[in-house]
Amino acid sequence: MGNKVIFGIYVPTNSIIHRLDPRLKFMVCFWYVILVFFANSVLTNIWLGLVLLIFMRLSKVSTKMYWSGIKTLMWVIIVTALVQLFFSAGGHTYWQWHFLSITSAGIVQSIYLILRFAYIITISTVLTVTTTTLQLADAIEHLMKPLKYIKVPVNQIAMMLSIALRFIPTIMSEVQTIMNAQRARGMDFSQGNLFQRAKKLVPVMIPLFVSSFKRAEELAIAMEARGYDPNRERTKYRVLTWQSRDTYALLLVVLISIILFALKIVF
Amino acid sequence: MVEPAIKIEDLSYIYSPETAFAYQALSNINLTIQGETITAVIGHTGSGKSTLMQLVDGLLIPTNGSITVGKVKVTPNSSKEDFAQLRNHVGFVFQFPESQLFADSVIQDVMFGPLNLGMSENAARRNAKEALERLSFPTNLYERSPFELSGGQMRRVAIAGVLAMDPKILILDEPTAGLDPNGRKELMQLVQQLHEEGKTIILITHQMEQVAEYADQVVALSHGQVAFNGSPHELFDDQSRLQKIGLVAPQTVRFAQKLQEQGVHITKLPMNVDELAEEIIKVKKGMTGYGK
Repeated sequence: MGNKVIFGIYVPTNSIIHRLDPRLKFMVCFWYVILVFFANSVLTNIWLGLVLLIFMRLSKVSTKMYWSGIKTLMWVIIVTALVQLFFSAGGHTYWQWHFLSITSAGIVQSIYLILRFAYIITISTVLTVTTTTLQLADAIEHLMKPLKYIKVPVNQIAMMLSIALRFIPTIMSEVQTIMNAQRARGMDFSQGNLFQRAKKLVPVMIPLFVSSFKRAEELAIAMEARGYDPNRERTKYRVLTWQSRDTYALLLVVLISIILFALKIVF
Repeated sequence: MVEPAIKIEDLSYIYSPETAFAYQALSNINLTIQGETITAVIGHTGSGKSTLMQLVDGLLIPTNGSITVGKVKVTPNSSKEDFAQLRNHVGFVFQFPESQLFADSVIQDVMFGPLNLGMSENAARRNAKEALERLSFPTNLYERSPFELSGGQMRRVAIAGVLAMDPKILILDEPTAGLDPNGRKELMQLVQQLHEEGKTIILITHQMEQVAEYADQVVALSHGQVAFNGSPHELFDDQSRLQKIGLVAPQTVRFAQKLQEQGVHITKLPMNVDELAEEIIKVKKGMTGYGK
């Protein structure tokens, strides 16, 4: 791939978080996102931030990686925070112009909003930098198992998911190759206004679609040739096993949550 | 005397530097490629051939060192315009170039490059037609969608798309991969023809027969370094070096070497079947002369 740090890509540092069960990591990530929406005071936000910092340190992944995640979505965060800032009412009003106003409540709310965004992006990054896509797919498949009872085709969805995840890097490098081939034919992707740039995507997207469909067809044939039957029960090569460290981690998360609710109630 | 077309000095390239995935693809490459020659670039998959060629075409920014193509010199600090200039001098036919076709019709796809260079619609069409004719592409298919063509035809359209830009230097990355024997022969004849017209050609290949038959200069890469740089003769003459780089000499060379092992005197290593036949005839004549 190119020279950019791709945000959220797996970083093999083999930290304690890397070795945890992917199911646990997935659930904790999900739970943390829920907790973020419970945090609506200074103390609870500080507590969640502190917990996140500890996760980041434990993952042994450079802060640059986490920062690049926030940077990628920076504009979304800023725009949303500005909307929150100018359109909220309540508390002391500092400035007003027609329907726009800056109030003390608005300032506090937009700061919380920025923190929420940052927390959610960062916890997701913690999950993806410490868990390979295959592990993630396995975890999701496992967690979806109960849905089998309401006739959801969990096996097929899991297969689709792992194929999709598996081909992301392949397609990324294909995009790079096609872009290079078109640049070699004199195309300059970095110039022109928004409309011109959008038009320039055509010579990349069409070959990409063509090759993706071709690849999908070939893959389907190859899978059938090797006897793949979507309706059969499949066994696993990589078996997920719950270990004692996973139990300790779970207890820790329960403790973190209790402290959060205690902070919320007491203060 | 033709001046060097490409000069590469102390060139290094690292993918994803300063990350866990940093990978040194090229280290300290020094190379000169003379104008109006055919240079074969060989080496195993992952030896850095494609990276080197992308650097020469200004598609990657070198980590260290410089590349000079004609009068344009690029270094890690060069501006975007300099790299774009490099691309205007160099035509690059990628591996499996048929996968870059996108336009509604064959002729429009071939015109894409010339139009990007700022040519007028008419000039671009003229160039495109010329290029397609050179590749003996059937005229009645010009308005057809490129996706309705056969694999071999698509390859021709893609190559025509690069030729239509009329580059001084042409890089071909395994142009004959996946073609049938006839297609392969025709394509190599075209390469030879372009060379005779004064183009500088760089050919990435795994086929030692092609190296022996067509190349003036061979550059062998191994683990991102130049393992050999010289003529095909020198390369195939030294078996121990060949083995060290992990290459096998073409059949004609091996045949001649077998003869030599049997005590037959071969004066010159044959680079193709004709040369081998000549050597054998020479030996035969010598033998009958002895008999008299």
